[in-house]
Amino acid sequence: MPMRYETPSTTREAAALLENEAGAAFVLAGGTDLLVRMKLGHIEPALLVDIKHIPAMSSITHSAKGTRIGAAVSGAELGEHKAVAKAWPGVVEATNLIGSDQVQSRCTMVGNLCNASPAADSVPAMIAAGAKAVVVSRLGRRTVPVEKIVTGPGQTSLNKGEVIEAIVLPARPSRSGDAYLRFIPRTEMDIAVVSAGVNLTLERGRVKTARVVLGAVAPTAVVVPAAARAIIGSRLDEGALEKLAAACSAACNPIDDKRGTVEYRTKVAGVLAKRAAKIAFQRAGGA
Amino acid sequence: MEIEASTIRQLLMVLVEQYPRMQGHLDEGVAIAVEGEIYRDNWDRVIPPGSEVFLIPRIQGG
Amino acid sequence: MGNDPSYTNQKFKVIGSRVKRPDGIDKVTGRAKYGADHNAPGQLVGLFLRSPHAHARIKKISTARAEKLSGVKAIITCDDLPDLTNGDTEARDILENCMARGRALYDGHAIAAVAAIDEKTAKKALQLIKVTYEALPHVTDVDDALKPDAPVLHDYIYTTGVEPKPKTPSNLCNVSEFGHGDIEAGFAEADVIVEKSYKTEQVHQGYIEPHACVASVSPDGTGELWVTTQGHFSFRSVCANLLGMDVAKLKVTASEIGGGFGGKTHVWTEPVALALSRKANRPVKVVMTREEVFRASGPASSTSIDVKIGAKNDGTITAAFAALRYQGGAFPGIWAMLGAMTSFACYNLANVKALGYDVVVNRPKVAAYRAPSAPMAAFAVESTMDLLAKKLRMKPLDFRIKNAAKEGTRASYGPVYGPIGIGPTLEAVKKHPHMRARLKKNQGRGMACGFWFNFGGQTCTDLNIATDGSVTLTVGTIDVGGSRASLSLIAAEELGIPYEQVRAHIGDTGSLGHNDMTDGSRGTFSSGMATIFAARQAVEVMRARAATMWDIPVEDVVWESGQAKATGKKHRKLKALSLADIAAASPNTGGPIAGHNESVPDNAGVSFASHICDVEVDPETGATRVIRYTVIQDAGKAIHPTYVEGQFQGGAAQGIGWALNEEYIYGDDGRLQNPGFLDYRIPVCSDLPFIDTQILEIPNPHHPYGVRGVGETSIVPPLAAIGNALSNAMGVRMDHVPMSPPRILKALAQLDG
Repeated sequence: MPMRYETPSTTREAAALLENEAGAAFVLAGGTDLLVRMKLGHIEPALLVDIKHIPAMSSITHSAKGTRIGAAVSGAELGEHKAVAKAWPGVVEATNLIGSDQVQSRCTMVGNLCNASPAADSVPAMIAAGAKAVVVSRLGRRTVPVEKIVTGPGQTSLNKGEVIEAIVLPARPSRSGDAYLRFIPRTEMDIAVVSAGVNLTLERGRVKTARVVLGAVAPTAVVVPAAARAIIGSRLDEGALEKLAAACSAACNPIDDKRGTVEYRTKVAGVLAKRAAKIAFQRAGGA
Repeated sequence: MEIEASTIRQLLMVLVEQYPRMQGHLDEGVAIAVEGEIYRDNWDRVIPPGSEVFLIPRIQGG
Repeated sequence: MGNDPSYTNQKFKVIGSRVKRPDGIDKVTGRAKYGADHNAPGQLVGLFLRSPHAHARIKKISTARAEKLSGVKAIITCDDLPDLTNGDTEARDILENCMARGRALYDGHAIAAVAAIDEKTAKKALQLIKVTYEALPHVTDVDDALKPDAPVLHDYIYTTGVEPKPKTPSNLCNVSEFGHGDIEAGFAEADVIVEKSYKTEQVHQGYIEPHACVASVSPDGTGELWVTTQGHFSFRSVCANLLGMDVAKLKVTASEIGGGFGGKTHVWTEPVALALSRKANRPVKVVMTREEVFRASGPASSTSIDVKIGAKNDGTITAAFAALRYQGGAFPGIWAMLGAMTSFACYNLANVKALGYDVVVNRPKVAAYRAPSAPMAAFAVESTMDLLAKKLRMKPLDFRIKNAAKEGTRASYGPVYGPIGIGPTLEAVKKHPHMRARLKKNQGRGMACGFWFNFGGQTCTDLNIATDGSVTLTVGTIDVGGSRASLSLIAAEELGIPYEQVRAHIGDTGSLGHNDMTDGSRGTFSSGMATIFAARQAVEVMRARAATMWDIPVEDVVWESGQAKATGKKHRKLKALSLADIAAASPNTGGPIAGHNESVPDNAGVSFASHICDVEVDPETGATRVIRYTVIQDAGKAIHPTYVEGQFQGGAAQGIGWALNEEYIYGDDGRLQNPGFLDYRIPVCSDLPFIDTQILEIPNPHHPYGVRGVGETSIVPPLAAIGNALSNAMGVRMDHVPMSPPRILKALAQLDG
């Protein structure tokens, strides 16, 4: 049976198309994962819904109230948005780590999220930032914390007929900073062996709030409240950093695979969290 | 071993006559070092009197 | 005047200049035709069904449903490839590797192949082929394969090279021994002995262009093959023999080649593509996917090596021993033997012994990879050399200089060396500013040496002069690294004309006599020598034509600077005739002017290299970056220095990837887990520093210009150079390649603990 290709102009329309398709239906944003899987013969879609013609999905809005990034916005476009890059350098640098320059001109944060790889680069940074996904269906919309979207490797909590329209980042208090680091054996063109995103806000030179999230150490990105607690109230002294690293290592539940060992991921998760925390602290204006 | 031969070709003939078991090695492929110079194909090469001749396996390259 | 290969110290006009390569524009604009770029009318798509098992008996292959699918034109299994090899075990192994015969011997082993009108139909047909397997126990590790309880792959392998002959079959194919002297006595003399064992994982050549061909066999028994290859004449012989065709009736045309490094000296899909075409009576195009390239073509051996070296307190090595176990994949190979031959070739040793153990395992059939087998042996030996130098409190460089082989040294593999370059490369290391550059925290510097044989081989070259004075040079050795530029320079040099006036081509198998492959670093050496002789023959023809034009005796004509000149007072009024003048007159002086050469150039000149490497290690992640790298190698004579440097740099780049990250990872199920460039990590551009080069020119006495092979040696030292640098940076001795971040971090943790 020939594959159908649709280009709806509203999110509702896209959701309806997905809901009404009996066969395998996929959302096409940048296609940097989807087209590869199709070409390798791993999937044979009956329907592709291209969301790049939906205005609500193709724009970035940024104000004091928060930031909204459409699901079809490419990594390169996000990277070129100076205000967002200034407010959320960690989220933007994480998104810009997806693939090569060529891939950057196509790939999207939401695509990276819905591909549901444990090693997705933008996801730990989004979760650390407290990002929410705007989920639209034929009947309405709901707002879901990003950490609730991925349920396991290749699995999401989205129902049939649901599509993510945008990612919303909260209002950015002053004295805030975020950072994302991943370990890859090469310098580029690689997939995270382990990664860490840290987002924090300072008050009088001390960490007031923090979120620490690890990638590639469990079936989904892992939020580590104990790691956040380890640095809250501190000036990110060596003792606090050591506790942060220990909490991160303790939160790891990785596997041995072709990309890394349990031992390695557990140890380096702490190392990267420490380094990311230092960068976030500095970005927040911490001394 | 001492062998009377003036070229590599002659040497190989005499060698197999005197040591029939060498045929197996020759079939697998050999290169012949005459005074340190390695010949894989040029069996017309003249062997000067008193030369040291070494048979080594024929190698593969990348 | 005969064709004397001896070095003559000729003065050069264009040799050594850095001209533009003739294939450059087509390659950078995408116009060049590679293996997958050719199409034939009515062509079908050929795809392979491959084994998902590491080792299995094939009980039944049902193709009936696939055959009924509309658009399927041919399906073949081993039944369509009868064994015509007539006792030639090497050919039989190639046949069985191309298509399994009753047993799947590794994950990815071809089981059946389909030709259909398009890819979609061919894929569908593959899904409809039903194969019934009976899984058999498998073994993928070289050491495990030698254990008494290991599953034995072949009941016909009885170890050769040992006495008495074994009574039972095993995975150990052959034991080879090289060396001289008495190592027991040598070790007894030693003041210090170091003994250590090493492992290296399996690597792939990693050529960017996958194997690709278009095969077309006609009902009259003739055929054509367009293919990416390092040796189209050899592919012709192998394919014709396996298929029962007359060699001369198969025309093989080589495409441009997107990297080979030894991996394209072997046939993989080509005989099957021809068989598919023969059965379908249509041309068939086969392009391997990257996954297929990794699972079923190429790789070099994984190894396990023990080294023992002893020395006196003054640094003189008294004895050296190595036991080298190499797996050749599912078929017998000579890979351990090559490792044993090369292992100690850099040194002047009174007592030396190297034992090579060639082993079969359930992995793809190993292929040559750039100086095949030498890098792993060098890793083990050169790491041990550093360890021993440290124990002796000597600088590793001085320790190597003291023991380096030189002219007159008996090589560890038998013969006595002529003039060689190991000493000069080491002296050049000593003088190089790199050795004095400052290092920072977590940085370390290492060096290592490497050796490769190089060889010549059968060569046939044509040189034809057009009536406008331009020159066509047709060679039969594939251009893998700029040889068309180098060979054109040679033709221009001999004829005394500008480089731009020569156009070099790779002739198809119908246009020249047999040429051996471009392997063993032989392309520029062999075809270069044949080009010199072909050009000199053309010059003789032109002298004769000039004599005809002037109506004087040919003895009165000399060739100088691209012109025929009449000698002697009586001819002083005769104006010199240029090559173009003589060419223009050729239709009426005897027809086309050409020169030919058929020969077997030998003595490509052994070659040595010494590399210097600086690394920086992140002690918290184990990540290593190579921050500076220098290659010093003897080229004999660099015809085109840029492409000599390119070979040096390319070998070093591949060696760095091998050293740090590249490895085949097999699961417990014996299946390859990382058949793709995402998880088989060859270096990307930003992983490498600029690789500095220094060309030494110690003329090869057996080439008119002094050329030595240069292509392979540069991959030999990097593994050890990086291992030694890491050791100097972090105080850990890595004994397992790749020296990947998890392995380094583990070693650092053990150091702390």
